[in-house]
Amino acid sequence: MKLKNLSALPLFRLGVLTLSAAFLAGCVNTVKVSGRFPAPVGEKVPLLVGLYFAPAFKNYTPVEVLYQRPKWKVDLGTASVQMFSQVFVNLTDQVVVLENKPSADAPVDNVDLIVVPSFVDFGLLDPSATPLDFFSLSFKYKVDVFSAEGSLIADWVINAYGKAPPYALKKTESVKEALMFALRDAAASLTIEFPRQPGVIRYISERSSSIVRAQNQLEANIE
Amino acid sequence: MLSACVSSQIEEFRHDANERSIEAIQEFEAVVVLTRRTHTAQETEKSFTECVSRKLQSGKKPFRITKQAQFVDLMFPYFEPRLAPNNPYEMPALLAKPGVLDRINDIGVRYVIWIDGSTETLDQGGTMTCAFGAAGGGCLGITWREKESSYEASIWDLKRQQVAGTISADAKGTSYMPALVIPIPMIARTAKVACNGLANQIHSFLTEGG
Repeated sequence: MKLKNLSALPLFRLGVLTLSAAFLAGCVNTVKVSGRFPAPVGEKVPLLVGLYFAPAFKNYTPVEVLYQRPKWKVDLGTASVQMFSQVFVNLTDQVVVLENKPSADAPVDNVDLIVVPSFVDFGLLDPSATPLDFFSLSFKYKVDVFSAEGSLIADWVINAYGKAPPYALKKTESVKEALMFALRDAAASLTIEFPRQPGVIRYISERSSSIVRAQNQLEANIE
Repeated sequence: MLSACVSSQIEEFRHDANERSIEAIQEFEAVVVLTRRTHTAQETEKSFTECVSRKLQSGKKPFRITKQAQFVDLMFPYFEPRLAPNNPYEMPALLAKPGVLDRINDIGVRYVIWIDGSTETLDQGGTMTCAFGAAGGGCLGITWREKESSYEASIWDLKRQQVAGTISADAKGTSYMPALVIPIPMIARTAKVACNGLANQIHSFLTEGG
């Protein structure tokens, strides 16, 4: 059978369409970013913070599957570890990265508070699959703050959003740009919201009071 | 490449709640041109903001320009899209935050110029057919595209903590591409005209005062 006749067959057309869709669906674009997050304006929070990144957090690489479009695989875990580390280095007096998760059985020495982030949600919108004119990327973190003894003192959710125009033949660059904007958005939220958490404020206030009490006691003893 | 006709309109609005005159910019005072970044669909093109910055930095009396990226980094996180002040009424609260005023004084920025707007295609049409063979090839037909660039610059005076003025620029034009064997593009550069008009008006607004 000639090719001309073959292309007229509905089954042949369906086959070509299915193969094209399978080929496109098989493509995976992997996105990795390495960002820089500036130091915030204002004074540092007087705390020594421990950061614990669970393996599931560090290795978080969501894959966005779009119908008949190449998949997007985003290395969000590595970028988020970098973001959290830089934000807390800039925001607080001192930061240590912990190897093990804090618990009541294994309290951590020499830290005031322990921050444990986790992912809640991730989404990526491709302009070729939506009515939008840009790539749009969003995700959510849940941030838990524990005392050195392992008791939860604050938790909240951070929403991050970034978008970027589609660059001709450089879609990966667009997604990278959207991801960097989203990480910066998360960094801004984290910088503002961490010192405002009631549990964190209470901890700083109680610690200041205990230092003042200790100083008064010391002065009274000297006298 | 030829240029097609573009018609433009520039409007200026001076604002001072206390009816004081606008102070002319001093040599040691810097200006920063910022893109109004929002999470909504439309956003000003980065190239347009860069064009306005470049124009203000050149010419007979160039301004001291602080780059957008540098300013946003130095003011982190207060000029990120989530936290940036949306209107001048939010300015006093921002400047009252610990360290903000000191940082602005260190940078030396007196005026923040927020750019908002975009270039859009209003209509397009026409047809063109091209054919190529062993003996050569060519095109026949005409296509056209009507574009409009509409931008607004809101000038905030950080020293007086208020809006100094608002300048808007609108430019409209139609690009044509007739083809009789060879296509000849005649481009209407609406964004460039709007950028030049806006930058010139901002320059005279800040240098003349009044």
